[in-house]
Amino acid sequence: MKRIDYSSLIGFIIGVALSSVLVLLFKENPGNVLKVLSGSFLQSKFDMGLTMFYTTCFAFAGLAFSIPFKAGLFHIGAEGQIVLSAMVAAVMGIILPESLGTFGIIAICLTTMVVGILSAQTIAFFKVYKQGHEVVVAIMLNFIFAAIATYVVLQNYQNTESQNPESSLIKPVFQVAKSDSIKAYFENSAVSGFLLVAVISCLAVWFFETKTKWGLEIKAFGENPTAAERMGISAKKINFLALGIAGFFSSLVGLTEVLGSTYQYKVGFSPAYGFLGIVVALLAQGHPIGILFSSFIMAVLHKGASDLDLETQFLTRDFSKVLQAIIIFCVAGAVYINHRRKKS
Amino acid sequence: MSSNLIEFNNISKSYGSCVSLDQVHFSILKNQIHAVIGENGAGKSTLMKVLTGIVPPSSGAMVLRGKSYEPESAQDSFREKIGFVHQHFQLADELTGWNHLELVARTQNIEKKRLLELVSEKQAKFKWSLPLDKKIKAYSIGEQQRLEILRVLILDPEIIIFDEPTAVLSPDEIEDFLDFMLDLKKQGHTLILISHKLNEIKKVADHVTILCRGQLIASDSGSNFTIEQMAEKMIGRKQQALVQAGVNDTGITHDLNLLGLKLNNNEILGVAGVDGNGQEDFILKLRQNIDLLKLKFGDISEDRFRYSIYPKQDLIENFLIRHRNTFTRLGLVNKKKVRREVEKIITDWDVRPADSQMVMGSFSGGNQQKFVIGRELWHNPDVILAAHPSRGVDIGAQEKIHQALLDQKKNHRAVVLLSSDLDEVLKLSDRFVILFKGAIKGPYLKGSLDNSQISQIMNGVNL
Amino acid sequence: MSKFLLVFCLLMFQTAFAEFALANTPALKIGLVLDKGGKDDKSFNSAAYAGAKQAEKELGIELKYVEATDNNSLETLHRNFAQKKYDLVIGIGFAQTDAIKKVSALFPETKFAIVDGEVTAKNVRSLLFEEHEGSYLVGAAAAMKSKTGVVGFIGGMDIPLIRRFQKGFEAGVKSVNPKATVLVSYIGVTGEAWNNPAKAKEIALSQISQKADVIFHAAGASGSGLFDAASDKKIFAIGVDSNQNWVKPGVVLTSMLKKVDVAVFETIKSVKAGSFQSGVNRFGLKDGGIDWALDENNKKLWSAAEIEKLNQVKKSIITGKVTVPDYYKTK
Repeated sequence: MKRIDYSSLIGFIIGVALSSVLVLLFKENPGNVLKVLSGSFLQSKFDMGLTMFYTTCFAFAGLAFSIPFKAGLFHIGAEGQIVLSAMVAAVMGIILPESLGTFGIIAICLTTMVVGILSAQTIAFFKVYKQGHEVVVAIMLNFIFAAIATYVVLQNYQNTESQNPESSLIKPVFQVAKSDSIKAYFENSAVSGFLLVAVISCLAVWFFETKTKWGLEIKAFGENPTAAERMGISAKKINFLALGIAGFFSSLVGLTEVLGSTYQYKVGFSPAYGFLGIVVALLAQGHPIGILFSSFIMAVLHKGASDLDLETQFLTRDFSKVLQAIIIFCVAGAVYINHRRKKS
Repeated sequence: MSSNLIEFNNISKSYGSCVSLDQVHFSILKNQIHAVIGENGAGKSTLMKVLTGIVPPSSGAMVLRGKSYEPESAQDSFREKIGFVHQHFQLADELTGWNHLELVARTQNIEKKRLLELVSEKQAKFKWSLPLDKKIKAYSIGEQQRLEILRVLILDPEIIIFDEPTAVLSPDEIEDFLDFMLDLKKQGHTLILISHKLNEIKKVADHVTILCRGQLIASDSGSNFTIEQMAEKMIGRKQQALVQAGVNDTGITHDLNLLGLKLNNNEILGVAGVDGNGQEDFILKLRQNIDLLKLKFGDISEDRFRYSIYPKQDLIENFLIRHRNTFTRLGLVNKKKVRREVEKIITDWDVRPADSQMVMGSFSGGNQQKFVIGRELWHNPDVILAAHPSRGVDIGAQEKIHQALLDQKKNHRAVVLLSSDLDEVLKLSDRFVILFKGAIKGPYLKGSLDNSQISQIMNGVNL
Repeated sequence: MSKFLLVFCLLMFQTAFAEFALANTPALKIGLVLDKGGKDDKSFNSAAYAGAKQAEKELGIELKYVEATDNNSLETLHRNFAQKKYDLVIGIGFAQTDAIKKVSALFPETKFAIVDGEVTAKNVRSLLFEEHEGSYLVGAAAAMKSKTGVVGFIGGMDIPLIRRFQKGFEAGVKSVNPKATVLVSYIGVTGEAWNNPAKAKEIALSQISQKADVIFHAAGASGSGLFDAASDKKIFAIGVDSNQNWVKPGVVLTSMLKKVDVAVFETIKSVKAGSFQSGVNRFGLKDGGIDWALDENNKKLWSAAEIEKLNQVKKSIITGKVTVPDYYKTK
């Protein structure tokens, strides 16, 4: 039986402790800071709802990193895919005729998913056929996709009723989330039924990884690619499969944002979901059920960060990024040290 | 007993609940060639680690030259003039022979002048002429071994431990080496020889100590054992004779398309040759051709770690990945069925510990190999490639493997056996080829060449 | 080692959990949500901050300010202020229009004010400025002082608001020198444009290489990039929103004042006095909400005749003799 690895949890605690020291240096009360950070989401149903929205997005982003990771790929391209798919979702919602009704919504979802999958598989294409390094290609694609999204929206679909760089709203018939009971429960905050999709996704991925042939092939390939190829597992297939699934989850972030929350594409809407998803996955050590929990923790911190401005004299939202960085560093450090210890 | 150079007094060593050495008690006399033999896991390497200070014993004590000896590191053992020539050479391809000697000199604070003296002295003593300015990658295996030994000799050890020294040598080189050992003895050294080559031990060892599962079975003068007795004591039971299947004349031939080689489906084709003569390439081409012929394939690879196992996953998963298509229905895998098959393999091949859910990396090399072979034979493959199948495997398992390979002939399967262990190749093959610098010499029928001829071909002589 | 760390952590936790009691004073609680660029942008936000600080000093109110670094959190910030029962929450910048629209509706008891945005609600006061008038004025100033006949305009974010500055500026330049060239560049399309001095400097240098010798910016904190370039290449720069003449005396020809500080101060004062009114306030040259800055820092650059001429232009705008083109109206 494989023993449970507590190293990331220990790293987390150490990170929080070190952050407290830093807070003291700023003449603030660490207890207060911790209270603000961890208590923000409990202030009202609205706050809780917003936190659950973040959880949804972080969970998808976490899955988008963890699956290719199991295949030995460092997938840093989720951010670009998220942005591109959100744009596609918004544009589809603007141009599709209202008469399509529910079919229209399905069409929006399917098109967005396909875009997400293909945009992620672009990385696979370059890796498999052109020996490109997945990290370099992904970073470049992030820029390219972001630029495409911004250009398409601002040139053709700019919201005439606002000075903000954003698209018009999608047609009202597609704004399904308005009648979403989860959203209503949480006082119309950003959360929506996509929260359930996120939970189901994590369960589905767990099932995929443990009980399906493809899931096992991905795991085997990630651990020992030469052995896997010897046994007939094609590197090509694994690359396209793992990244395709990742792209699918990236597209879900886009859908959560556009169909589930704002009903439009706002330039800069993503607070780096794609990159924070990496943290979420690492905190959970890649376990899909763990990702549910780590995405919640990240969401709580993310939500609390904006309150730091209000509740403290000297600490701003930027400080929370420092805290985040310290915690991430400690978690990664703890996992690494534990790994080295086990090797010897 | 002043002629006792080293005394092991009730040495025990446990790793947690695992007992590696159990009250091992014997002595090594001065100026002896003392062989320590045993299967894998018998405790030979642990004993040497204790002797050279790499691990401390859990209980018991050692006496060296009449004084208590408690080394805390390998450095302590160097200081006590104990040298260790390892089985796997620790040489860097891109450095020259001199570089390696200089490194040793530097760690032991030997000046360059002194080093030059020592080296020429030793080379002269044994009539070697190692080309020290060449890079290691240009050395032959025999030369590499000599360099390893030279590295140890310049520290003037009184006691030298040799770990499986003849594993990679051709028959002629083995003869030379055995002479070399006798030479060392004449010069006053005490040698500890760890080997499983019982015939060689019979030739040179003065004294033989036999370990089995951490316990001392016997320690006596070499002349008091026959080879069969040594083998029997090592494995704890009588060695079994191998059953040779009769060759069926109506066999099918697979055209391997490998430079004209044809493989019959009821034979074992041996591939002999010193490591580094094109074995990898041969295996690659062979595999490609078998793929093209779309035959069912059993792959006992030469580098288990790289090609056969997933150390972080358990036995069930390691089996499942290999035979995934058989156990998949509608994309879902049936782990329960897999477990049953894995349990069978564990029983049939005596994989220890018998835990199908333990991760592969926790098993010893020998047990890993046993599992891999069980897995590769499980689906009744048409062609089996066994590359160095007995590497790191104890005699008991080796028997099993050899018998299993022989049994394949009965079932009309073809076996290609590639090994650097010449004895193994000659024992099992119906026909065999010899690789030399990528060229395939042969095939020769079993028994058609004598040892001297084989040696020559292995070293490039065209007969 | 790990045991020590654990004990250390536990100790930290223990000492860290002292609560401090917040003294609850009965003073008016004012929340200020600044735009990207922060209170030290020396321009737009600085003006707002200055006004609030003045109110803090003179009116004895309790001020809490935050900077919106991420558009998504705007709504949350306003909500938080409202939930904590602040008396007045002021949003600086058009980007907060949506947030205030939503939150003011949910918290009718809280008063809101927004600068550069328009929200129609009983508890919201919208503070708008006729920046095109001021831009026309400094456009005329630029054309008067330009020797090459080429002037430059650096906009921050490419939005209608800044286009309004641009159009007014162009008209002002052409009114003095019909043959003048106006080089126009925008820093970006997102809020990042308000805080990108490096890019502003790049653009300025490029315009200078095309012979621009007076450059006007409407780019918030990015303006410091223009000032650097202008100082390096010895040309004139024109500041915006706050009086920026002091930033590089001798280089800054003048600044187009957008008296956000006054607007903020007056609004807070009205809440304290109980005379807060919803609706739209439009500040322009007429009421002094918009003006051009002349002080010790740039007086030396102006002759008495030039000053007189510029003030004439100002008068003609106020009296209506000159109509300044308004981007909002011509869209």
